[in-house]
Amino acid sequence: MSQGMDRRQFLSRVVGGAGAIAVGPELFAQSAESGKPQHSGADYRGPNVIVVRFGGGVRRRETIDPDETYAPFLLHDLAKRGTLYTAMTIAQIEGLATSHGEGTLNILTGKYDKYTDVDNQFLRARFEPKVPTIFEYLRKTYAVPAHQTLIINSEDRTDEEFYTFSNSHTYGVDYRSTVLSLYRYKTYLLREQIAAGMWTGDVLREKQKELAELTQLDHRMTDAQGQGREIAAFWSDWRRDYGDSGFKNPRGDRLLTELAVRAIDRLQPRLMMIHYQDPDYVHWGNLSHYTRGIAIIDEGLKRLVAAVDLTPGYRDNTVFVIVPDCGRDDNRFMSVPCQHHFNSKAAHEVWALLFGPGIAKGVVVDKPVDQTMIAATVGRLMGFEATAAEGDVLQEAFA
Amino acid sequence: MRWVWTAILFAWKYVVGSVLCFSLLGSVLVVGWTYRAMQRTTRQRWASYSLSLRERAGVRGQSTEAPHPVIAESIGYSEVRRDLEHLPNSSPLTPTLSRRERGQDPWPSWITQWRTEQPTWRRVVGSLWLNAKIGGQGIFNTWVLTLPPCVLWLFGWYDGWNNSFHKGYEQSWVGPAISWLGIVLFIAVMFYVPMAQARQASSGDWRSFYDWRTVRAVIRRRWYACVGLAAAYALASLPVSVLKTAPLVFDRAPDYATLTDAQVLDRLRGYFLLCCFVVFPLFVALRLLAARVYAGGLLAAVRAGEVAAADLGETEDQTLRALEIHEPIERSRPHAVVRAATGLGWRLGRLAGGVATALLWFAFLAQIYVSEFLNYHLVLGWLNQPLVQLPWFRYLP
Repeated sequence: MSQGMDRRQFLSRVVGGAGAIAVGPELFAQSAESGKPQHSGADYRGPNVIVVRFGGGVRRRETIDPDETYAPFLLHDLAKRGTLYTAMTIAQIEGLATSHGEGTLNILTGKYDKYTDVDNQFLRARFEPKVPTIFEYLRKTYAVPAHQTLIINSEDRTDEEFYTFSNSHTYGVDYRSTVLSLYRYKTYLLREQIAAGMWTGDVLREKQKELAELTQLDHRMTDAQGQGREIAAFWSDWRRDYGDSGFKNPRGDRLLTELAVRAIDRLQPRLMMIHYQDPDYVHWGNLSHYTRGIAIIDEGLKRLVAAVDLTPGYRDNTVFVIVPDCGRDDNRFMSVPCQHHFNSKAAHEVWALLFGPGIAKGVVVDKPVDQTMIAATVGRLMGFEATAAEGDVLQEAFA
Repeated sequence: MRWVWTAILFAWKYVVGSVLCFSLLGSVLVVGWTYRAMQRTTRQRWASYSLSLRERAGVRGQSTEAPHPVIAESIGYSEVRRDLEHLPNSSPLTPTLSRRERGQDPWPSWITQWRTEQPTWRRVVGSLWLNAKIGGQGIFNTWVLTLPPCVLWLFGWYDGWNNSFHKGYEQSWVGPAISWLGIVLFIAVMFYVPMAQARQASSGDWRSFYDWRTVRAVIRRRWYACVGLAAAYALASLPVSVLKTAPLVFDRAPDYATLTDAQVLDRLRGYFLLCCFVVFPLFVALRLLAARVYAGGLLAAVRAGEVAAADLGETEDQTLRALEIHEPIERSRPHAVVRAATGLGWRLGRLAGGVATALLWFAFLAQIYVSEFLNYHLVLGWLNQPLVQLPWFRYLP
C-alpha cells in the first residue's frame, strides 16, 4: 500500500469520520469560508459559462447527423445560434481510455493523461488530475466563491463528484469547485436529521453509520470542509420542495437539469459543468435507452436555455459549451453497434457546439480539432489562461 | 486402409454436423442424431459391464455360442464399430442401416422395422425424418424445463435495466428478483435436465424425460459424476462464450471502414459458420458424457433394486435382460455401525456435491450474463444456450 493511501486513510478516519458527523450542520455551514480563494483577486465581470457534458458517450450519428439525430433542438435550433465543430476528436494516445471520467477531465484540464483509480480498484474512476481544472484557473484569477463554480453530478457516478480540484501545488483544494448532486443532498439531509434529533438509540447509530459510509466515499477529504452556507440554503429549499424520501424529485438526467436550473436561480454560478450521462445505459443492451437518453439531454438543453434567457444576469451573458465526454463504438458486427466505447476509432470521435455572446453564429467547422481545446477556449471566454492545457483556443468560434 | 476410411467418415460427420449447427432446422437434426449416439453410448456401457462380469465369471471362454449382438458390440468392438460409427448411417443426413445390415439396431424395432429393405433414397428421407422427430422431441422436452428460466433472465435483465434507466426506486426489486428467480430455477432444473435428456435418448421414448423417480434415482447414484458433468458444461461454455462475444472487437480490423454492410454480414456469417466447428463437437461430447453417466447410474440403480423393470423403457429393459444384468444383486448387509458411517458419508458427499453442482451451474450461467453485457444478442442470447438447448450458433445482427 502506498504512503499516500496511508495518509488518506488516516485523514479519513480523523477528519472525515465520526468526528465530522458530530460537529453538526451549522459548523459545516460556517466552514464554507474555507472554500474562498486565499487571495483578493479582481471581481469577475465576464460572461457566465455553462459547460454541458453531453455524456455517457454519444456518437455523432445520433446527435449531429441531420438524418439520424435524436437531439433536434441541439442540431436545428442551438447550432444556428453558435459554432458547431463536427470533427472534434480525442487523441489516439497509447494507454489513453475513451471513457467518462477521462473525457470529463480532458475537458476540465485541457490535457490528456492516463488516469488510474486512486486505490487501483477495478471499474472505479476516482481520478486526480495533475494539472489545474478550469474552475481552479477561474477562482485563482478572480474572486469567485466556490458556490459559483459548480459541477452538477449524477447519482450513478459518485466517483465523478470529486473532480473538483487538481493535485497541482499552486492551485488545488483552495480553488476547488462545489458539487450539486443527490449524494451531496443525502449527506446534507442526514446531518440535518441527526442534528435535529430525529432518531435515537439503534436507529441513530444506524444513520450515523450510513452517513459515515457516505462520507467515506469522499476520498479527497473535502467533506470535512462542509458544503458551505449557500449550498446548505440551496438544499434547504430543495428539501422543502421535494422532501426527504427521494421519490418526489426528478430522476436521472432530468434531475441534473433541475439542479442546474435551480442553481442558476439561487446560486448564480459563473462557471458550471453538467455531467449528463444517461445514454450510457446502452452498455446493457437496450438501444432505446441510448436514443432516449440523448432526447432527454436535448430536452434538458431546451429548459436550460429557456432558464438562461429568462434570468437577469444570464440573459445575453452566458456562453454554452456543449461537448460529449467520449464517442461510442460503431461496430456493425454487433446487434447493438454502439453498446460500448472501448477505444475504437468512433469512440474518439466527438463534436462541440458553442453559442452565446461573442460566439460566431451559424458557423459549422469541419476541420479536425481536439477535445483538449475546450479548456483553453473557456479560458479565453472567461479571461484566464489555462496554462497547462495542451490544446489551443477554438479560434473559429469567436466572432 | 481402414484408418483412411475412418478418417474420411469422421470428417464427413464432423463437417455435416457442424454445418447443420448453422441453421435452426439443422440444429434440430443434430439434436436427434446426437440422441441416437447417446443411445448407442448407453448400450455400449452396459455391454462393457456385462462383458466384464462374464469375464470374471469365466463365461466367455466356456461358451461356443455366438455372443448376443449387444455383447458382441462390446466384445468385438473393432468389428461392430464399423456398423455403429464408420458407416454413413451415423451422419445426420445419411440413412440408418437396416437390422440385417447391422446385425443389431440400437433403436427400438417398432421405429425401424418399416425401413427394412427400403431403397436408399427412402432410407435417407427416413433417417432425416427420424433425426428431425427425435430432435424435435428432445428440444421440446428440454425447452419445457429450461425455457422458463431463460425467459425470466430475458425479462429480468430487460426490466432491471429499464427500471434503472428510469430510476424507479420503488420497483427496483422487480428486475433483480425476476433474474434471481430465473437463476435459481435454471440451476435447479439443470440438476435434472442432463440425465433426463440421457434417459429420453436411451429409452427412445419422449415421455421418459418426465420419469422423475427414475431420473432422480440415477442422479442419486451418480451424484459425483453429475458434479463432473456440470464442471464439463461450465468449462465447455468458456470457448462458446468467447466465440459468441468475439465480434465485439471485429471493428478493429484494418479494412473495417471500407466494408459495406453486406460485406460485414458475409464476414459475420463466415465467422459463425466456423464457430459451429467448435460448438458441434462440444455439444456432442457433453451429451455422450451425460449418456455414460446415465448408463452407470441406471445400472447401479437397477442392480440395487431401486429401479424396477417396470420403470425402465422397453428397449432398456430388453437390453439389460439380453445382457443378463437386469436382476438386483443381493448384497450382504454390513454391520449397523458401518452402515451408519457409510450412509452419513454418502449423504455428506451428496450435500457437498449438490453445493458444488449448483456453483458450477452458476459459473455456467454467469458466463451468459457476462457475454451478454459485452455483446448483447437481443432475445436469442438469453433464450437459446447452444450447449444445453439447440446447438444453433448464429448471432447475426
